[in-house]
Amino acid sequence: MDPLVEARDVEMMFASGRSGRRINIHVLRKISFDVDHGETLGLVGESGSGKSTIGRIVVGLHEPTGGSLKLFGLALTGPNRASNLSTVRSRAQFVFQDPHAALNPRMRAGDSIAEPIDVAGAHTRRDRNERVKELLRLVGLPHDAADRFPHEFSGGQRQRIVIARALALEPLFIVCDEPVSALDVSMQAQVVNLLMDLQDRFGIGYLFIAHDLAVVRAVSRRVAVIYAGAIVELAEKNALFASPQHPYTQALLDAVPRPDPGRVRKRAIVGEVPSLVSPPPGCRFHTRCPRAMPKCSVDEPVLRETSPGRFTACHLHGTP
Amino acid sequence: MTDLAVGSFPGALAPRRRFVLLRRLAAHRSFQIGLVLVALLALAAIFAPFLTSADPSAMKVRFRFRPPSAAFPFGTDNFGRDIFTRVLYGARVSLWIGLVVAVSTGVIGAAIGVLAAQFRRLDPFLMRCMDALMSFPAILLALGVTAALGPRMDSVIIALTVAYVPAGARIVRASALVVRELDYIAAARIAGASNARIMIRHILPNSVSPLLVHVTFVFAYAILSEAALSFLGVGVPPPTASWGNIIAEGRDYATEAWWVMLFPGLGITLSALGLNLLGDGLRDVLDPRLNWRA
Amino acid sequence: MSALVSIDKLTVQFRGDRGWITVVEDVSFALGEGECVGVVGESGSGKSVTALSMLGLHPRGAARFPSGSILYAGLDLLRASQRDLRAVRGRDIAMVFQDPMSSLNPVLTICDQICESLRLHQGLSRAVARRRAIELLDLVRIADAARRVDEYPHRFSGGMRQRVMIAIAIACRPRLLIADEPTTALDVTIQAQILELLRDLHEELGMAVLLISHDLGVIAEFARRVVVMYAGRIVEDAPVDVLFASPRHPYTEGLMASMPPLDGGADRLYAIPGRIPDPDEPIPGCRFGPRCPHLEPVCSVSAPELVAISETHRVRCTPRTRPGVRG
Repeated sequence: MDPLVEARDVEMMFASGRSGRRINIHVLRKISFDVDHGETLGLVGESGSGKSTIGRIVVGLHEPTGGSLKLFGLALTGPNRASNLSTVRSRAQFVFQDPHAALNPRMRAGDSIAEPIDVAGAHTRRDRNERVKELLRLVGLPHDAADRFPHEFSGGQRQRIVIARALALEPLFIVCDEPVSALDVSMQAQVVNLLMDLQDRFGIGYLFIAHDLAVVRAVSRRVAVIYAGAIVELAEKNALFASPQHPYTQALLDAVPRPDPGRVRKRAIVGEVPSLVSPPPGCRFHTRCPRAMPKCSVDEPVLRETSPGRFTACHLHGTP
Repeated sequence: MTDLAVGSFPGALAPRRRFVLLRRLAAHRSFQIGLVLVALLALAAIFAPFLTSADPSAMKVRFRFRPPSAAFPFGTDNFGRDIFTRVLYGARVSLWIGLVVAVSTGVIGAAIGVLAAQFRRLDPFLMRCMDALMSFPAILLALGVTAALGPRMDSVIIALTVAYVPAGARIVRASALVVRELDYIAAARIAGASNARIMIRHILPNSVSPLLVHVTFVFAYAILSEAALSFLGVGVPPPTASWGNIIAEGRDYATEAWWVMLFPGLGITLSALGLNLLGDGLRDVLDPRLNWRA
Repeated sequence: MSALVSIDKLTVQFRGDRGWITVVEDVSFALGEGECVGVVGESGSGKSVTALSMLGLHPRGAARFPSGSILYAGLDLLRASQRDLRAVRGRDIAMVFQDPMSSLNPVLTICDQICESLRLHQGLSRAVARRRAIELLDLVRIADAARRVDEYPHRFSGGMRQRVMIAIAIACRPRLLIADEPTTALDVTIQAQILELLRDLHEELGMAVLLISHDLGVIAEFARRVVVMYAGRIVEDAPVDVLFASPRHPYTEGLMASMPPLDGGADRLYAIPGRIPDPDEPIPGCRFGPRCPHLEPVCSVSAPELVAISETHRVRCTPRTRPGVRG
């Protein structure tokens, strides 16, 4: 069976500035990954990594400027993009980060949830309302929530409405873009559990984008780490967390604060994410890498399979 | 079905607080005063035939230049016409012009603003047109239109609408540009919504708050502008009474019959004041910062 | 250790649609010289409101303090005049805020913004203040300080802006630095850098730090003592190792349990049921009651008091602070 998502060498450039002073920002370079049916691929990165852009490309909001992308086996790049997209669109959905911006403040919750159904147009009014009630039940909200406006809900409840909307057309694949980062800690666990339960129940595959490593670990089967527009490591989660191969992965793990007062901390790595407009030559991480070699400032490493199922883009690993 | 909610029940919804904005509006001092003023004037205009039995155009030359008295509460003009009656009927004309201009400006301005924000290629063209219109002083523009179409009430309405649309369009465009970038627009797109649906159901309702405030002020400006146009002789043509042309006709007798200019002038002042206060109240209540909660 | 700042039974009310709403109630704790205290809580906990109250930073007329006091050097900060408050702000007590992107004035250079505090409180001349500003930028580890001091904020990234904010805050060597979620808006690797900087500065300058965060990990790595707040009240107050090893309040326990462990092993996360109450929501007895897995009848009847179960450990929970249960 085709994987849900198949990305090969996807590139994304954004043009910025007015004509005459156009700058091209190379946001994504040679992104390759798969998401299989019913599995969760975690995508971890910091700001400027391009992780949100990947999410939006996969669900059809942007068209990649290079490479190939297939959703449910149909190509979203190339001449048939428009027709393929309208075919598979109902099966892929999106959960947004900010529950305050993800819902139209002037639409009742029920109408927001039903929007995908209304646009598709195929249902009667009664069926549609029944479906809204069912979706509210699925996400654990009472059904009088349908008549209320977003400002009458808390952040965690709004996120549930966003999830209900994503479920409206029974998708098989959902991109979750930082779905819990904007929520309080006690809400995060609730929403994460909900997402995992929905996966168990309906076999939905997720692309789970986040910067919080601990949450990503809890929900994913495999994890990809992305830095400055390229995937630097991709592995099964336990392997990645137990023995990270790429120095950036190691730095991320070291930097996460733990609820352990006695822990001895390593010094933080220096520097910041490089500018995407004029990136450093060679490996983009070499300016901050504690283990950089002379080769790293010249050749950009390629994502290679270092052992079955593990991919790393680093000169320290893989065949020289 | 409840197994999914186990351990994760989000808690009951807070009790509903309905019509918060309306209640806040009703409690706002400026809004209250403005509403009372405008309501009184509007009612006086609507019920004019019941408040006075005279005919606004009836000339009773025997009673020229009578100062305000029991028989003629606002006095008479040089033709012996009852100013009280003329002011009441004039209210109908002036307030109607103001209302139509305000509503048209709102509707057309909103449409242009949303279209400009949504279609980036159309945007420069539309905005340059708006800039061109804005660079003419409203009165001159109105003079031009009236000269072209002939002096009629409709010309005045069209002229003033054309003059005030650009500001409204800019206001809506500014809001719409912000709204476009929000996640719920992307969500609608992912759901497959067409451009039209996105503009009408999502962008428009969320971009119009500042326009609502602006429109109340346009109502006031239109009344004032109509008066100015009539003063210049290119407003509503006599013998139809409008506040503006009552003042225009009374200009020549300002020292002898001051009451001819005073009472329509009061009407204009009070309606402009009332509308401004209404607009202030709306603006304060709709201001998103004031809706911030601890 | 003598108390530098002593907050006693602080109660804060905000003006709502229908009258005054209590957002913080009965908050009491003391900060010693050079002490590192963390305040942890979620939204609605009142942690930021408490910090803002210490410097009188609430909008005029929007907040009132029906009871309580905040004592600093003999002055009650809640009732002090604007003049007295201005003398304290920036010089003795300084604050760093959450969002570095909007904390700096975009039309003034970095030098102007750092020097403002220096010239105001220490009366330095322009030249001397500028030199001190460069020293401060070095202290907060901004490379090429002498050149960057004349730049405008838009040339700085989020992490660097936060360093500048810290530089402004420590310019006059305050005795207390309040940091309100200083790293929440930053990437995790940058967050680690900033926290390291704060730790190093705390050691070098000997100033007390009050760190406010919703992130238990950040608190664990930084604070010596932790105050846990929920729905406007302190629910637990203990030294950091005691708190993490043996929390006593059900909310603290729940919070810790719901953090997914970085070391794996969790298939399903523990989630505290329910949601955070609105400040004006009437709840009889303990405000955490509706969500508490150990709720007892007495909890819904009378509000619990903050009780000391040991010299350094206070808990606000009636069942957990009964005599015989302590220690």
